[in-house]
Amino acid sequence: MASEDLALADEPGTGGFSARLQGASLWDLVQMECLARTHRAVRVTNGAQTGVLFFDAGRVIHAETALAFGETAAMEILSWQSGSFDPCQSAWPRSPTITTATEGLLLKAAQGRDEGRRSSNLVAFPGRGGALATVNGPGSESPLLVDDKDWESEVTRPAGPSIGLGFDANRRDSGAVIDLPIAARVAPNGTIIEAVDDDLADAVAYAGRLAGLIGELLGLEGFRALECASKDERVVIYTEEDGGLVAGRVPAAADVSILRERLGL
Amino acid sequence: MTGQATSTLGAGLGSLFDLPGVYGSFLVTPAGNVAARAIPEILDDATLSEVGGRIIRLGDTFETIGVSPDLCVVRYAEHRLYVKTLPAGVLCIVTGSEISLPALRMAANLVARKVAPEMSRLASPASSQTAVPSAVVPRASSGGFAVPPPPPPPPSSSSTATAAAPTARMYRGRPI
Repeated sequence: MASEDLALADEPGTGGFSARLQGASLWDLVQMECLARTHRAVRVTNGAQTGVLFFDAGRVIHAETALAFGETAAMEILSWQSGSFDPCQSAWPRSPTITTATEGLLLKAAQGRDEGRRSSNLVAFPGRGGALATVNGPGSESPLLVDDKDWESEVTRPAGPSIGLGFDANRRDSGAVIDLPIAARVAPNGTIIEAVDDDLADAVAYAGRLAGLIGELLGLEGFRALECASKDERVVIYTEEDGGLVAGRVPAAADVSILRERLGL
Repeated sequence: MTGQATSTLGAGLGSLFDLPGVYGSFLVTPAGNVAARAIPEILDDATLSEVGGRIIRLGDTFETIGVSPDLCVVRYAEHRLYVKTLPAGVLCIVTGSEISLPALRMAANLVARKVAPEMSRLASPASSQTAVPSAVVPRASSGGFAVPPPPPPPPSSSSTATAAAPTARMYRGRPI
């Protein structure tokens, strides 16, 4: 889009000012929403791409795009250089999918932009639990696995098995992408944010704790990640910036070399 | 534990120092006890025993979700802990973050092959009955490999079954 034409408007019928800003960056607008501690959904459009950011209590708590949701989607949206920014009515997530502070999201987005690794922050969206880890070699134009029904139903899904979340920490300069089907995500306080099943989330939480204690006893600080491999599959657990734990399960035959490289495993 | 066992286990662990970046290693029995060690003395036996118990529990944790771990790599800020499951026990190797993992895998496989028979013997009920403190080779005062004494015998030795209980626990056909 040649000329930036960003719009900011309050929700209809709630009074206040509406504004039309040109030249404002999306990051500025996100920060304004957070400062105002609004509770609303905002549709962000960039050409043919559309995403929704959900703000609550000064944070971005959820994000959706056509291909991803959660932090992955937020990073995708924050990578857009121009477009529009409009409050909208959108189904509110049952629980927050983004635990990273907004500042952290913006820092990540800035880092991604600086590194110039990619023209888009789109990442693969794995299928419902059990999706295979796949690596798309250089030159693959579309590493994305899309199941619109899955992501659409995710926001308002009833309690039950969770869908895997995309993991965007696996890109290299070559553009190769590996999907880690996220089977469980546990907040630092033990809250289960996402889980294919509760037993798995419990195991992840306990394994993370044990790994931390083992490290403390051996004088090895800063537990970062863990890979447990059996003959049939691998379980990978890694710590997020906020101390939360994320776990994924992939078949033993899957090539996880890129993932290992990123996690230092 | 006999002197021959000490030699076998110790020699196995010692070979890991061929690799740059290996800080030390130790062997843990299925019961969580440390069977042999080749790691700086700054980590005393009590600490290693605590670590051993937690490593076994870490494996048990994955078992509960249907993953029978053969290998576990734990990454810390500047180190790795490489845990390889043996037929009876686990081999734990503490390394720096820059170690060559392919070389480590090969070295660990060779060590595992070498110490596995002795570890299986240690884990067998018969071994636990015959292993008495007097058979333990004293730990070197500094450096080298040390073998801590086996766990104290059960309080009641009147029943053979009771005496064997600590090492008779089985999980999915394997002693734990």
